Amino acid sequence: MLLLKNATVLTMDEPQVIEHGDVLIDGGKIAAVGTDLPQEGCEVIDLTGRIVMPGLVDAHAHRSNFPVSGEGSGDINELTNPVTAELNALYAIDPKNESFRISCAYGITTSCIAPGSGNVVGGWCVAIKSAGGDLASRVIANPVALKAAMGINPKGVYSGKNRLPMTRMGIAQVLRDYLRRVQAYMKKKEAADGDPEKLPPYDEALEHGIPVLRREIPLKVHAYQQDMMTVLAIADEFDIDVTLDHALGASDFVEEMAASRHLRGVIYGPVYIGLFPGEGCKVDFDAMKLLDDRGVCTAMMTDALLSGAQMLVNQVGECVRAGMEPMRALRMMTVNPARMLGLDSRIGRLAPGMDADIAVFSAMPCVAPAAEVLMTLIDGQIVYQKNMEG
Amino acid sequence: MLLKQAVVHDGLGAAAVCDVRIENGLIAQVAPHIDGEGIDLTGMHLLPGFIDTMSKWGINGTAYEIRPSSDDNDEKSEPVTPELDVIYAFNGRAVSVQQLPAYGITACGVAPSDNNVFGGQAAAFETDGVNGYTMCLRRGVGLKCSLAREVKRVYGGRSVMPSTRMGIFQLFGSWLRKADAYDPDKEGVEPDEKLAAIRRALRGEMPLILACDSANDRALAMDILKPYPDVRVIFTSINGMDEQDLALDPARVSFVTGFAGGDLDPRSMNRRYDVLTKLMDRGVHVAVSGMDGTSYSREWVLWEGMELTRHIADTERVLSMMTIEPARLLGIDAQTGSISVGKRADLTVFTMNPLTDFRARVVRTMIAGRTVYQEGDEIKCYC
Repeated sequence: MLLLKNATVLTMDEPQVIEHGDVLIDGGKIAAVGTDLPQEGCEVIDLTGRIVMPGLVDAHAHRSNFPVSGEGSGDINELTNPVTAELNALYAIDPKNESFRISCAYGITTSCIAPGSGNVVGGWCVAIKSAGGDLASRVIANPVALKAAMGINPKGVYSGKNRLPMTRMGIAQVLRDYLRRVQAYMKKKEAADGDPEKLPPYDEALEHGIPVLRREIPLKVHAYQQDMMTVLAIADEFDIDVTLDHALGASDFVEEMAASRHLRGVIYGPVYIGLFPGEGCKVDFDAMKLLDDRGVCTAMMTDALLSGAQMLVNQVGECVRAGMEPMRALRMMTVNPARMLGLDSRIGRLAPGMDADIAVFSAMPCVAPAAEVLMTLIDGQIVYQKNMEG
Repeated sequence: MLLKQAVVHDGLGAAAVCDVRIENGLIAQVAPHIDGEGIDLTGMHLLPGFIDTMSKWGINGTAYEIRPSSDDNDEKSEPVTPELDVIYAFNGRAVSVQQLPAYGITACGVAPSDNNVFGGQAAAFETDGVNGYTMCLRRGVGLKCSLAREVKRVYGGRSVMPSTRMGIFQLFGSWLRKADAYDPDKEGVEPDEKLAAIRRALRGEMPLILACDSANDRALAMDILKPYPDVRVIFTSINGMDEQDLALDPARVSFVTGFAGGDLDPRSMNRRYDVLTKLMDRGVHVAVSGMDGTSYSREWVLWEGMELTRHIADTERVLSMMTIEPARLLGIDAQTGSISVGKRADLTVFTMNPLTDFRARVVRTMIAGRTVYQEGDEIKCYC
């Protein structure tokens, strides 16, 4: 057993802050959180003056074989058909990608890996840990969402091929048509009532939409500005859950988002390019406070490999600058994304029974700019320790 | 205008509660108490405006126009274009719409891209205005060169020299030699703008602004530059920094360090701030920028400053790397870069010290005494 001793523990649970707190880890799980926990038989790490919090969750990333320097198409954007719902991001992931090591150094213990945004429906998303054994043993859940994309990405890709969708009209049509086909497929399966003679031919693309229509997983939609309202309209039409990913320009639609019955959450970022004409032009971190105040679940993303692991804390820090209470803001990279991904019984909080995924900071992240990760644990194992790096 | 009782960080290493009087856009007086009515900044922090040392702010390109085209700082039609001047690429409205003063940035260096071995001449600009020529603080702040892999990606893709590192370094060395031999005053010598531009750098009239991928590249470049002792070099990144860089001559080189937000680029993944601080201890000037390869954002100047506070305990020293050090590298330190009497009132006011607290907000930013941003201003946006 491992005992993390005498830290300021930010549980992201009740009570939120435990001063001089201890976290007891046993068998990769958190056994107890409290003060003055008995230390008999434990390896003890004294963390006096340090911050202990749940390992960070990156709610939207592409840590995989990304296309780099013209070495082919990479593995994350299968740009051959606007609907590739049958794909699974698991097969794009290089578990030894350098990005996972860097994630550990910045306290990120879980990433939701999504297919890229080149297709209207991209495929299943998977939640995996930043370190551990082989790929299969690092997967927490698969699928956690079905990826979709609005706007300039699919429009740009298929405009170049003179194929539907070349416009936002076309994108909405392709998405609605897919969801209608999933509905029809489900009806046929239901009508067959298990009779193999009557079952429709197995269609993996439509199978992958079933958990979305059943509201078991969200449709995870790349959307900015007005496209977000299109997504909410389609979510209402089909009675499905959605997350709005990237979401720059959200401050224009706060009331609409708060009123939606189908919005599982908003996943913001990244901010890694100047403001340009088009969908990404409005950087409004203040929207996260407005949404949080109205009860909308908010999270932050890196979009890695498009931007770096250190962006997660910095962007959440910008939400603090924009007026969000730090303890609310820290939820954006812990319990909130865990909830959106349906993983909140395993990660995102420090409580007995949860996975022992932990980040130790030198000071309060998103408040003190000099705060840095001193240690990261995944499943109770130390996967990063400052100064052990080369 | 009188700014009263802020904690004034002068950018030169000092911080104290002071009053600051501004006249005709210049800092007229800095003193513990100055008589007269003014803006009460008690509890606030007054800083020199940040300077984004090396950027592409104000550059128009394919995203803006009705016809697909190259970015205006990226004349990749041939690899040797030292005669070009980035002043002709700069658009005042294109930078103003980015609202850089909302993050305290009042000036920026703008350079040609990394795609040419000799790219052209860089310049420094204010970050708010319309007319790029009146916003320009200084032209010819340096001659942009690149030994980075971008060059061979562009030209190698066309099967044109240089498609290899051998080709890149050969072009670099041979054009330096040609420019060294070039004497426009000699009878019978035809004027050559390319050679004239490189010759200005060889004579120390402007530094070379050099993009390199590694410590090895930097060592090779300095070896090629050995015959030209007047050449000063500004390296545009700390990409691939390692102990080998400690052999660089502090009298000849300086560094720009950008926030490494894009981890698509393995060159910027391992950040050797330990080596960088050793170089600083030896007298190497280091300035901050908000750019990492092709990624950049207005938040990133401050973010790189914050990153540096993890490695440099003295936050006033870090602030100087965002203010006076960029001004020195760009040769605009007589005009701006510190809160000093006689300099332009390029200033930013934060609610707290932004290098010690994320909750610090910009309440006002001024360029030459003109308020260009106040807290609560609407976000500028293209659509």
